[in-house]
Amino acid sequence: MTILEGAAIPVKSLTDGTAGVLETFQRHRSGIFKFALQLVGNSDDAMDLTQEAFLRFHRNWPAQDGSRDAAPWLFAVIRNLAYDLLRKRATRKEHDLEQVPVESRAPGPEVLALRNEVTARLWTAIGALPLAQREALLLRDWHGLSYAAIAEVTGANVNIVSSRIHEARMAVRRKMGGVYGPGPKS
Amino acid sequence: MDLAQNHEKMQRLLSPFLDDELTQGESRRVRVHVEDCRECAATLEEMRHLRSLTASVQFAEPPEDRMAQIERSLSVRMPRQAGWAMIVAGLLAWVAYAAVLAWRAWPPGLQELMAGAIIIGLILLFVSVVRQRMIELPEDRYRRVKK
Repeated sequence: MTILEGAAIPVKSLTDGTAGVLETFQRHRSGIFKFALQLVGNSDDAMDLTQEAFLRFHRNWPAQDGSRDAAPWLFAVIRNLAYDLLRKRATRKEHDLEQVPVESRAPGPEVLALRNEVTARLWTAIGALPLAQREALLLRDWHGLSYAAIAEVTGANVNIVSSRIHEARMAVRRKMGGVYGPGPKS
Repeated sequence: MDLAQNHEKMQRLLSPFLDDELTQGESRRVRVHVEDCRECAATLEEMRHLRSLTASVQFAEPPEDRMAQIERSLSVRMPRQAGWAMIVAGLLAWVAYAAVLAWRAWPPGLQELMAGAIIIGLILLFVSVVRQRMIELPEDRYRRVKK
């Protein structure tokens, strides 16, 4: 084997690796950012969490099974980072003698790109859900993850995920009081 | 199981039914129940509306300049990190190779000489520390302090 042939092996592996990381970034960047935004409620924080999630992905990429979908892993990282941020915010608020539990902390309608009465009402109803139900509902209905993938992201079992989604839908349904706008897309 | 219990159980299966997360048998039971239960049929229809409505909510897009910055950072980091790893691994392999070659071609008596040098070096270090302590002892402000 010549020096050039020897160097070609790691160079090819490196090129494939870089392409894999960048491809994953391109494919999931929007969804990951929006999940962060849905949990923490402002664009700057969501962007910081997205950056950190992809840097962690880059660091851990060689250890990942290339055939597995990266989405649940990335969603889990974003979720953990968002929880840490929400806990820090709650601690800061306690210092300010505003003791608001993390569970009730829901992003306001400023995260919505298009606002009308129905979507604002829906988002308020979703925002009032306990965090575990809210994340399960959004991961299912907005991000389209399966129950098994949501279980992987949240660390709960599939039955608990199913129960959380059901409770969330029933609660949102009650809060919406039959106002659904012009009707479903499908 | 009475009718009320069955209704409650079927109602809890409406979400996984809607999401196609049930087994074939469970799906069939829910479908049969929904055909006969107006309340569950209405709940299922509302859930379908809600799911569709939730999926249609549009959130703020990520700022493109920050996304480009992350992409640049990712494309630079990977080759840099791998470059350093390859240089260090290559150098270590060369040092190990050189050590093996040197060990094989070692002249007789040189191993004893090296072991002796290490022992003499340790003795010299010990003597130098003791000597420094002896020199500094008269000026040590704490020498009369009882431990």
